[in-house]
Amino acid sequence: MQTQAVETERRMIRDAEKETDMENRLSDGEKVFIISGAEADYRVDGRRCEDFRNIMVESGVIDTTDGSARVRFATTDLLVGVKCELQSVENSAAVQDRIRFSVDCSANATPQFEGKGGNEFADEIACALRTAYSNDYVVPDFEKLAVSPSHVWILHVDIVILQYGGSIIEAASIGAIAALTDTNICEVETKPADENRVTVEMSEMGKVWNLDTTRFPVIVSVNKLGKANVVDCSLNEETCIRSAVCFGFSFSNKMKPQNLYQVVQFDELSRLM
Amino acid sequence: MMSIISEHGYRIDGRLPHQIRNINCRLGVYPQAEGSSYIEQGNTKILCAVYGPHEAKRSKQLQDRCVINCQYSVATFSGLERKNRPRGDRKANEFTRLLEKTFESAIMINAFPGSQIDIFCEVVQNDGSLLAACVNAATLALCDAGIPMKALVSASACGFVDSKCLVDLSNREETDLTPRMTVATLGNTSQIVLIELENRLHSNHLPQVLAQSTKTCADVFECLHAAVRAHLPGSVAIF
Amino acid sequence: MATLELNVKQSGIVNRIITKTYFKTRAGKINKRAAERYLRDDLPCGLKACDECRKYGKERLGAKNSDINSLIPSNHVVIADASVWIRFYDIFESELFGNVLITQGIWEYVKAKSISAYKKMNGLTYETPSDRFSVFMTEFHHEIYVPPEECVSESERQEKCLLSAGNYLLKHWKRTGWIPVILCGEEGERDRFRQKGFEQAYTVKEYVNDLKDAKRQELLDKMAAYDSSSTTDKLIYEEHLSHDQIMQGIATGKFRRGTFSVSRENYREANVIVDEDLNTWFITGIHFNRAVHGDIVAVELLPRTEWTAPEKMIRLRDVEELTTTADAIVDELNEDDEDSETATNADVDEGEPKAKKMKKSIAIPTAKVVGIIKRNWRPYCGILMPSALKGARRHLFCPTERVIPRIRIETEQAEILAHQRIVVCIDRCPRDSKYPLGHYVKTIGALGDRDTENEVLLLEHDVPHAPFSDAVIDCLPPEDWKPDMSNVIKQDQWKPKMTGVRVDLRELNICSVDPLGCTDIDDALHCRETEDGYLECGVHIADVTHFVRPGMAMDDEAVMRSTTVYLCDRRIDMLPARLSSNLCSLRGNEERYAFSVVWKMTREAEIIDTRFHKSLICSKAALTYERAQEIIDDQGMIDELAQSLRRLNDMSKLLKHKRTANGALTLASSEIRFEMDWETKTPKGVQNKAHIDTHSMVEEFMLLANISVAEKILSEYPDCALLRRHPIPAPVSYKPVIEAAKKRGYELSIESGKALADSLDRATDKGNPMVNRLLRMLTTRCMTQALYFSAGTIPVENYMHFGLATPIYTHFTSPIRRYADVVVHRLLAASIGADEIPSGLLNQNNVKKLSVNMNYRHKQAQYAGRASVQLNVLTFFKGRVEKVEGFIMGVRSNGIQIFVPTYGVESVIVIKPSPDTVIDAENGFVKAGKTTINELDRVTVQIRLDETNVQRPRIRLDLIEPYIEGLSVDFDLSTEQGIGK
Repeated sequence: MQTQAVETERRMIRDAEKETDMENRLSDGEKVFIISGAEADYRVDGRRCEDFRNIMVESGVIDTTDGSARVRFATTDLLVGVKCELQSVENSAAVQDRIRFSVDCSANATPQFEGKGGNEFADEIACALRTAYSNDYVVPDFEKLAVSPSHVWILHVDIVILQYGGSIIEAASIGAIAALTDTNICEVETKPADENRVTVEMSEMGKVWNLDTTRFPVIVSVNKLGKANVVDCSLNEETCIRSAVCFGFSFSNKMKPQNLYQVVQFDELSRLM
Repeated sequence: MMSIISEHGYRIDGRLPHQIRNINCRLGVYPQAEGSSYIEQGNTKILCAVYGPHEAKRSKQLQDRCVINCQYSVATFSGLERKNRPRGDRKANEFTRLLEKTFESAIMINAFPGSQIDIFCEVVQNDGSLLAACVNAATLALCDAGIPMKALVSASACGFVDSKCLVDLSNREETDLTPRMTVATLGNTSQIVLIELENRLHSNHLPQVLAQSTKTCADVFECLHAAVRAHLPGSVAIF
Repeated sequence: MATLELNVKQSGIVNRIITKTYFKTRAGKINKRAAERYLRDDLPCGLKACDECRKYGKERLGAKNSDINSLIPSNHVVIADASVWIRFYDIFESELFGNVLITQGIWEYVKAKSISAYKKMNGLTYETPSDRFSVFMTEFHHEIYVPPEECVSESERQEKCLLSAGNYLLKHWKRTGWIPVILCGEEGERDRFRQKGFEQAYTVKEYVNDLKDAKRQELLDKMAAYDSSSTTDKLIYEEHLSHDQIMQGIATGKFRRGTFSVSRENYREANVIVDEDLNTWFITGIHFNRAVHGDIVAVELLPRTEWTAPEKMIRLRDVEELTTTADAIVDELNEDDEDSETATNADVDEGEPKAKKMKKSIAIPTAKVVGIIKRNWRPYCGILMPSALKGARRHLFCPTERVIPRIRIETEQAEILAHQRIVVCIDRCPRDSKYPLGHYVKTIGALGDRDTENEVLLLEHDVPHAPFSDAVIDCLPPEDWKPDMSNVIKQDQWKPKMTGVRVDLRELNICSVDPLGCTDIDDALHCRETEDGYLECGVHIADVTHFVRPGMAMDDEAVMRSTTVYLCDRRIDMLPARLSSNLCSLRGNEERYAFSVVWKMTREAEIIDTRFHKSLICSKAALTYERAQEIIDDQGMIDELAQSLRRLNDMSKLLKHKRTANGALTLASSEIRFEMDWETKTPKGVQNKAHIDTHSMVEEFMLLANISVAEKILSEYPDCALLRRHPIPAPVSYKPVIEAAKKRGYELSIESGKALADSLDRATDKGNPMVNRLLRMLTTRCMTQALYFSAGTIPVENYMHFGLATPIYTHFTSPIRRYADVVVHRLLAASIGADEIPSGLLNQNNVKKLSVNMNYRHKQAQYAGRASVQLNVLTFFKGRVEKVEGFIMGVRSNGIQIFVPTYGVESVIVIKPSPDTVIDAENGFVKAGKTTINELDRVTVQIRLDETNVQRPRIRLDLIEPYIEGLSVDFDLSTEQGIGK
């Protein structure tokens, strides 16, 4: 009787585990190891608590986009593409979100992202970026994007997560800046059309302008591993953290930090692993 | 107005009708997946990752063979105009099924009963012949994963314009009316594991198109084969 | 130039680069395209003397020409720049150009900019076997190609490419002794080439000038003719003003508002009626400013110096297409399919030709369109005119409605659609496009297919013809409906002001007289003697309002349809068949409900008393006109029915005489009806329209009934009765017929209706009875339209019906096929207390709205009927050629209008101008050599079907006697207003 009950219980646990396909399931011992090491300022890969991994950024990787970038943080790999769209609207002043973000978790990163598996996570990242950019200060060229009272440039920033190794949001924000810096927006001229409206024509061959990205925000998350504050967690470390706070910073001559994101609970993070 | 084959007999990008585009490929791009590959056919760039064989979900499990699960997803920035949804539309689902069927014929599925092999393709840049490029990418990824197959599957797309067969179509050549056929063959033989036709083709032209496709698949096979052989020494420990 | 790795080894390909370009799509989006380009090294230069390239085959150029030009001492090959090809393409036909090389860059540029130049180039290079032209694929050549990133503009890139090609060929041909020579369009370009080190660059003029052969003079002449380069402004039209500006302008009187109406004779002229007094302003040419026929526009009067007058020319798009040269048509019709990559809009055309300045004396107020207040676009039926370029996406759509301009649409299905009738909608009219832009909606069917053509006809005339919906069918009474006898009273029991009763008239000898094959019998008559020596005549009309009640779905449907539409082979009913052909129809020997008007009159046709009441009748016979006439004439028949008919006949003659004395007009119509073979639904022949007494008999009594009812409802409802009027035409509209009559020596008076009728009666030619009929036809064309209106909306003296010479009129006698009659029935029924009046009818505005709709539908139905006849004329003449009599109806500055009475066919013969032909439109004659033909002259013509344009078969008239060479165009001039009865 009891063995049977234990059997059923074990099977249930196994099934539950299978459901989530734990690749990164760490044993308690491993977790203790990581946490105590962090509290003592030693991390598993030899870094200190405030050290970032090697960041590699390449821009101009995709030809079909107006701007693109690839960001690599050791095991995290992201591809960012920017496409510019000239929209005809009733009133361009009313269109406030001219830089739009969307994130797609590719199944290449982990089978859990197959189908709609990664959608929630992707939405969170996109939301964070959106909040960071919906700020008058960070986009000085905001007005320039409105070409005429009825035409406005919309920049679609699309991020594809190819490899998941932690610190996605940092990589995403860096990628966004790199891609937007690389973006070439076509020069256009306005010409009068009927009824006091205008039509938009391209100026000569391939003249482009670039956005001023000096103030674009960078998002950094600070994680709590036990008592230590750690940045740039790897995948294993992310399983162990309790909570994290993400900040978005926009730099100018005066270092003026802007608080933009909020606390993410530990449970959520572990569910995402 | 650009016609697909100009009056002088050349295509828009300077190729002759029977010439394929340049192929660059690399295996083993992701460490976390069992096998992965990156292929460039002309300007079409595809990343493919293979996971498995691993235990299949109870609902999907088959007792005598392994289940192939594919996902085909196109990045929103990959084409000329931005696409809103990377996957889930009709075309993507159709390609997914086609990929699954193709590899069910190519992989030795009876060797892994009850398990599942995942093949995920991500199109990073779209310049035509997507299905063919995905098949090629998947073949390479499967090789990298070490999954036993009957032979390498190579695919190519062939269109039919002005009584001429056009091989390896680019985006501009894939118009709404040109009939085009994607054919995948097993190894260097003319055993066909995949045929997909878009638009309408007169049955009289079918033999010509099939013959050209098979020939091109053989050419593509050579490229893939060379890539695999180049990768081998680096990945396998040879004593 | 960043070259990329090339892994796949294929013959001929040596390099791969990516070029990035921006282009604007038609939808307004700006896209970036990154395209691959493979550069090759196996591209032959085309020179026979070149050893390296011989292995590729394809060499052509080799005719030695070292001595043909004094400027160039050695064998040379000419490379002409794109601007030379576009402007002077004709000169390359000459044999003096023995070796011409066309680079791929130039080829593609010319193809995008000028279709006619491209066609010439293609023809000379590929279509005719000649060794003089060869194409060099420079854009794919790994040593010559210049990527767009290195240049500021497309034209600069073209120059660089050409220079690069020239330099390469210089090197390449060094051993052979041949040299390349570049010909430029203008000196600036040539100097730039020389500055960069390419010595052998000349302008084409210099080159041709120094050719030693005498034939060079021809070339120089040709070039001079082309020299006036047409500058194409990107923006062709003025901008439209905003709504506020227009409203302000109208308020201050600077602009006027009206409906834009394109002339049916000349598609470059239009009129706008600017105020209530029907003053019109004339608009021509570019001042159309993208207004489409039917739009409500705001117009501004031009200064007096710019006033002009109608050209008095028949200008139809089709005619111009047939007579202009092939290339000009090609340019106009196939305005370059834009390669959307070139950032410039490639609409190359010469713009509108300037209207001739007219003499000051005849100039009329001319205006220009400054803004559009309301667009009245609808889906248009028509055919596609595919572009000459293979694989082109943009084509011109040609609507069947002549006054609508061509519409440019984008479709890839051109081959499939080429032989179909399709429906296209206009999307917009941009300032930089000669034609409006639209899109394909759907296909109706194959060209020439009878059902398709009928469908097109109905769609074009906005005739609702869908089968009756279930909601409508549900309103119908059952098949086995029987009259309800509960409120039926005997005739002698009836008194005026009795409500809710029906009089039993079943024993009366009522009969109906209608055309053969008529199933919807709505009227029946009787006439008997009363005891007191008078005659009692009665008209009984089908009681439709008993079945069609206000608020029913059937009533709403009938309001929308407003009338039954008669096509040659089909009838679109206003009411479902169960009512129109059965329960309402006054069939013989069937008890039916009716609405009766019964007069007591003297034997001199003086009316003593009029009674209106609902009744129950049983028609004794449903006769045809012919049968009724037979009965009247047959002295042997003396039964009551025959006597009744004779009495009716006699009375009707008296009534007619009275009307004519008052000044009623008898006019002629040029329309014909076909006798149809009902199995194949094709026309067998033209119906004989002999007029017999019984026609008049029925007509007179119907008129009398209508007038009596009009008087009654007006007395009861003086501010909302539905009446029908025919306005007196303005004196100026009679001009054409007065002039035509004058030339024949007849004086027509238009002081009053009676004067006109009398003078028309006098204008006869004993030798030619047709003249009188033609004059009557011309008079018909001068008439205004008869209209429905609501009493109380206009002054009482305008209620009159000019054509019938009656002060008041309405429609009462055909409720089965006209909705106006249904309304009048309801009004009459309410006025006699037989029924409740629906509240909607008491509202003058409602009646006004109803009138507007009914007038519109009536007109559309007429046009549809005519169009159907025309369609059947075309079918009738398939494979048939006939010689018929024709009459000249009018002379215009470029041709004559001929009317063939037998077939009711009107056509225009455009006369080829020749030195001994004089056309005088003012005085109405044409003099060709020794023969003169005047208006209203009789001529003999040959009539047949011309199917040279498969998409548009037309009736072709050729003048046989007297003979003048001309070209005929079919043309529907029958803008007959007709006079409604």
